[in-house]
Amino acid sequence: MLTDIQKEIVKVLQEDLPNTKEPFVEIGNKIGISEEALLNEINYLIDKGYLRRMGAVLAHRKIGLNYNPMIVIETKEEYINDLGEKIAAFTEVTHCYNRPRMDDFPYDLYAMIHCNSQEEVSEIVKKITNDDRIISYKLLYSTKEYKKTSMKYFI
Amino acid sequence: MDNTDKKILQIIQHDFPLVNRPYKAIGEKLDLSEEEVLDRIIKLKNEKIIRRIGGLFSSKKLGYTSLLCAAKVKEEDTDKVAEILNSYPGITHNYKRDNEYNIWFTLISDSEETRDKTISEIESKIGYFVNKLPATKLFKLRAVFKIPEGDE
Repeated sequence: MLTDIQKEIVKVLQEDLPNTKEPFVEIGNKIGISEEALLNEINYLIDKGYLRRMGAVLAHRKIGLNYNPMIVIETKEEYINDLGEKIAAFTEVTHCYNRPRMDDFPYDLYAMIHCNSQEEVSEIVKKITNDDRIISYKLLYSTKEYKKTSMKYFI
Repeated sequence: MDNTDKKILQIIQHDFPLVNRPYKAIGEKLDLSEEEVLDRIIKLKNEKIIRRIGGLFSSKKLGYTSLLCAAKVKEEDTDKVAEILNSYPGITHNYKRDNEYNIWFTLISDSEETRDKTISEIESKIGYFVNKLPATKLFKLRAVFKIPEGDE
């Protein structure tokens, strides 16, 4: 369980860091702890896996990644793990999950691919799918982004 | 966005320095002054290339539950359905995709009970069945991008 102060830290860090030279001093002042205590808590949250990373969230389309299909793959139960690991190893793949099938959508693995050209997508997809363990696959492109935001916790 | 911006982005999307003067630390790696790094980052935020700098949390570790949902919605209803979905703060991602399952969204809830209640409420509001696709195994979750090379 997180302490009250750790929850306060989560609430502040899910917003944008202040644009000042000493952002952690400013955040510490805001929640009433020293910069040192704050950085220790942040490192603790990272070590324990609460905080996956501290970093910049980028708008992928604005850095030139305009080809972002979701690939869904049908395989056999016994290949799910190995294939999942294989797909996850590509730098262009940011998300990879095993999910339950739907009756008319019999796919086991879901991955998000981010590329800067159609050719690059084709290349990656070829590398991923040139595999006897794959029964079928499909690429789903987003035609409209209705919402993309970070979750706000503890509010 | 020039190559210096790209180098800054490459560093800060992986690991933002957890030190007293983070922009100075980034500058030292790239042979830039602290002021220049901070000015460039402010510019990249204003241009919405950087959405924000901060923490990316594990919803699961924080006691929340995350769910991918898919629905088959008639083309003429998609925008209206999306608007209803967007009104839920726990729905963080919502896309239309080129498939019979054309509405895809993620819902983060503070418990399974809240989640199931929310899904039922959504179904009655939008008038469509919502398919639940919970992750049975996570192989990768790391939205760190390979930034394409060359000036823009």
